[in-house]
Amino acid sequence: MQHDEVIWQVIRHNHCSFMAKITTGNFCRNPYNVTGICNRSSCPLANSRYATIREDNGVFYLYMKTIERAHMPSKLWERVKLPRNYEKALELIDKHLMYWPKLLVHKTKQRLTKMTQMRIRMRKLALKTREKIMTTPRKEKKREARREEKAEKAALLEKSIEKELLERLQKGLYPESDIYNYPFDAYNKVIDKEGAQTADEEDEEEGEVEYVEGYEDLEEEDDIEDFGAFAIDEFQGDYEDDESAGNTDDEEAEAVANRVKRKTDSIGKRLDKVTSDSKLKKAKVLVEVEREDADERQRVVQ
Amino acid sequence: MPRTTTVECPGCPPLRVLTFDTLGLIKIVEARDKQEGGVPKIVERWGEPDSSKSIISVSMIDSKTQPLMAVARKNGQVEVISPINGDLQAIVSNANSKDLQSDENNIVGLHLFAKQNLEVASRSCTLLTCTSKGNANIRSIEFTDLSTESPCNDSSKSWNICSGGNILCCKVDTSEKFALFGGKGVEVNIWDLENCSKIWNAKSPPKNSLGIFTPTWFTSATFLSKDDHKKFVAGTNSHQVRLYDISAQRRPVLSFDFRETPIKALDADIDGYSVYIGNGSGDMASFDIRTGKLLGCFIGKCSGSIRSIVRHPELPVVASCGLDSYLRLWDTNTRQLLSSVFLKQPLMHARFDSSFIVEETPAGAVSLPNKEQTTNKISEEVEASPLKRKKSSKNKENVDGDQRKKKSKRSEEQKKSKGKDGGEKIAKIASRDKGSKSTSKKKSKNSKLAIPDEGL
Amino acid sequence: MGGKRRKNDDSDNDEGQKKPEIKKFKREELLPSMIKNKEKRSEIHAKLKRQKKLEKRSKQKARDAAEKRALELGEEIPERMVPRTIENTRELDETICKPDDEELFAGNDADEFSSILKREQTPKILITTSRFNSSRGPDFISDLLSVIPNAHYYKRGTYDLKKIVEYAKNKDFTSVIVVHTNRREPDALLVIGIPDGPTAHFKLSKLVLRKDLKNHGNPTSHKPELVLNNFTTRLGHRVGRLIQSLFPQDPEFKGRRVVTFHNQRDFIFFRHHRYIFETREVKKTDSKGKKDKEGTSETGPERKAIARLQECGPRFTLKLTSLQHGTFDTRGGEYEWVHKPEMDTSRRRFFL
Repeated sequence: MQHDEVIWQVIRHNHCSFMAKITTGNFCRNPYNVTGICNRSSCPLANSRYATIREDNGVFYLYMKTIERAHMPSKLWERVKLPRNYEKALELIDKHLMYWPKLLVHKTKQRLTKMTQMRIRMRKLALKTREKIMTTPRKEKKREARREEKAEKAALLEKSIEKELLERLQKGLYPESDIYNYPFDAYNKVIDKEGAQTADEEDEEEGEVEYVEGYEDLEEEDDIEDFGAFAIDEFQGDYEDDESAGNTDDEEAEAVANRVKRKTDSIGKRLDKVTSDSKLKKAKVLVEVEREDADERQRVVQ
Repeated sequence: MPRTTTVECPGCPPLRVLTFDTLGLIKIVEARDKQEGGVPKIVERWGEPDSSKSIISVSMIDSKTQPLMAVARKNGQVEVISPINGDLQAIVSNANSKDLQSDENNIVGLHLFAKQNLEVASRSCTLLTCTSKGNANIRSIEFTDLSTESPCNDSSKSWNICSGGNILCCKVDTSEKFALFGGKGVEVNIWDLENCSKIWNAKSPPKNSLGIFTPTWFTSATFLSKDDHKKFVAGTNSHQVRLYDISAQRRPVLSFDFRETPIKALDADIDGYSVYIGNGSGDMASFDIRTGKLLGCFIGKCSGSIRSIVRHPELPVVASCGLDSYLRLWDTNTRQLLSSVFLKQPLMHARFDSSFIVEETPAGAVSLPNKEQTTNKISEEVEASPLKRKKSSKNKENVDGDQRKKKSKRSEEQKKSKGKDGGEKIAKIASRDKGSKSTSKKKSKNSKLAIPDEGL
Repeated sequence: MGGKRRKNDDSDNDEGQKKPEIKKFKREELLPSMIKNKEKRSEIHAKLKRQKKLEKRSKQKARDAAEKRALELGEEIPERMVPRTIENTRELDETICKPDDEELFAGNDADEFSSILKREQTPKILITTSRFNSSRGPDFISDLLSVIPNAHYYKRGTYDLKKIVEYAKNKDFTSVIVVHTNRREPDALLVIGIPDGPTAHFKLSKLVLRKDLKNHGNPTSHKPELVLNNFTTRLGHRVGRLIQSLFPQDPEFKGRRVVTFHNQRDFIFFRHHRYIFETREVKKTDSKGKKDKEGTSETGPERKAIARLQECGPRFTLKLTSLQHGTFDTRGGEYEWVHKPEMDTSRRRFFL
């Protein structure tokens, strides 16, 4: 015997296995529910006259049940296939639910709209190329990281690169004109001549360095060792000046710092050449380079 | 002591495989069971490396009397070669069809007719060629003594298979009356070769539930059994394997997915229901096509796309090759890797030469067309191999255990005969065993010693 | 050296197998792990450890003494033991290329990079990112741009990768590099050879940007030279050629820049350096006497060229996960090589 009120009383006040109580409200898990909300008007169990829309393999069907078939659960639902066309489907719903309560008709139509939208969206997503997220087991990740670390140690990267480069040098891959700091002997001769050639080369290698001081240095290259020390002194002086002036403006100070850095670089290079010139003093000069670096670092710290 | 050698695979029964690669080389790999424990080795190499002569398709008549094979190259030439010694019998270049010069139109389908060949006394052969644009052609070629281009006979038939799309696979059934074509944008269709008419065309599967239609793109196909042209299996680019039955319906009778990369190679077993499937990421598996159930995967560090799978006509061995330039030989029952051979180039095809018999047998027997005798020979080999292997290594025993029932029967018979006949035969076998054992032992030692040297 | 030792191992393999068994029997009552009392156990363990240490030391001493004696007597110095490393116990791989393999060269001539490597075509690189890119991604790309000459960065937008490949084909690019970012950290690199070249997918890890390197140098705009180390197998060669095709084949040695891809145990380490050649005296006891000679003859035999390096580029590690035949296509693509978990069964098996 079908008695809607009794069923509803039981469902609402005793127990319903389809009901899902969430903080946002009471919902219904019954697949026949039109709205998905647990209330009297949209409960598929407590309404002997009911209509909904369900999807089966991409096709929408209008499901209807009436009180006359309530005693035959196997034939309870009458199913009508809806056309893919949305408007035609609406018409069909209108036709089938002509004398049904307006609310039910409205809800069914609403569901049809929603499901059509869902279908469109699903199709769109299926056609779109999307990134596929792949997982890597944590174990593998850790193992790889471990092995990578060991491999890096075993590779002795710097050594192997140096070895390779020297091998290339010995094979004579590097044309003499291109590698300007080697062979030293030839270069020394050039430096000894102290002609315009060196200046040319300087230009070539450090086209980007454009400092007035630098050019001044170049001009008085008579005593190179003196020059190195002098340049450093000048730098420090320069820097201090700049700093005193630039305390107000941080950006300027930074720019200056950069410039100083580059300058020291260039000087380092020059000093390298100096080493080649005076071999006996080479070790000493190298030490100077290091000290200079240290200076620079200190300055950066400041 | 860390393991410095690779795990040794159980050897394979004596066989001969021809491989065809992208540089136009044909390499012959032979496994001689008796001396070397069934380790296949490269025996010969035919041709010079030339990328323009890359081999596209191959067809081979695998007969005892007059084996012959045809090779279609990238430059549009078809060469007819003897698979025994690599002698060039004839060259056909498709000069008449100008579109062959373009890169896109290669000869993708090639078939040498065995029947006509038997009738005519070996001085000519009949060829079916099919280009990727869909021009099919049947003609017979006469061999000339010179390796110049041989003229085609007048009896050439040509027709068009499809108007658009690319043909990718072409198979002729064993009765050689029907041919099957399929490709990118071309549904599989079957042609009657005698009067060049299409007798069947597949229908594309319906759209899925979202209304999305997957374009047809067949990559491989094969007839299911020897004496039936009605059933065939096709693999698609969308990693689907389909079983078609001409007599039943135009849509696939059965279809299932395999992994996630396109199916690249297919071959049917001789039992008529299991198929071997290889895909673009180097996975290989065998399926029972009656139910669509996976029988098992072939696992063995196979890392490159599989281009070709071939089943040995008699022995339980299946060969696969592909872009990782390995030829791999598998046991069909245990799905265990029997051995693999590195062939240096990406391989396009592999073919078994089933008439290969280890030289111990008298040479006269090879040319005998009598079927019974040859099968006897093979059974002898098969018998010999398990006996030897049992003693040589443990791994090999497994293989034996799972080898086909036939063989076990045979071995049983042999045992019986042993018991009955007694002395002579056993002594013979034992002596042979001893010899092989000692040689194999030596061999293994040698190989072990050789390995570190190579490693350095 | 290693080979010789291994030979010995092989020859007395049977003995070696027996030995540990015997040891086991002896040790069974001594094994500290079988003692339940912790104090006793640790005591015995310490004892054993000490014993081992002493043994080792005495062995070393004996070795040193033997060496010294040999030196004094003028005999041949006994060969030093070579430690067993993963590299020299690597699993045998038949795909390792031999330098006299004509098929290799023919294959190389036929492959997709030959037109670039023969300098018929200059490489032109398109760099783009995954769809979401921020933080370290752009920094990494700006570093890459300074490393690879003739590289152009294009914003990804919402384009499909296939469309981008198509675009690159039309614009005569030779390679596309896609930097994939995950959680604001570059974690994968996709290198696509353009007309029909292969697609290599690398895992990227341990990225250190230029600005995070201490004392880094600033590279010039010269074309760098390339060092590709240890790419031995066929697959390795192919990957090496793929990487090579990213860089111009006519390096300007003036710039003294070197870009290194060093393969060690399947990890490809990327480094970018500036270098300088110098001469340095070899430290010898009698260098003073020779120094005088130096003044007269410039080329003393004890002077040796060395290379000094200054790191300047980013630094990262690549690991190949797959190499695809043809351009990027995940659905219909054929793989030339894919890494599968079943390949990880030995730590001495390498593929590059």
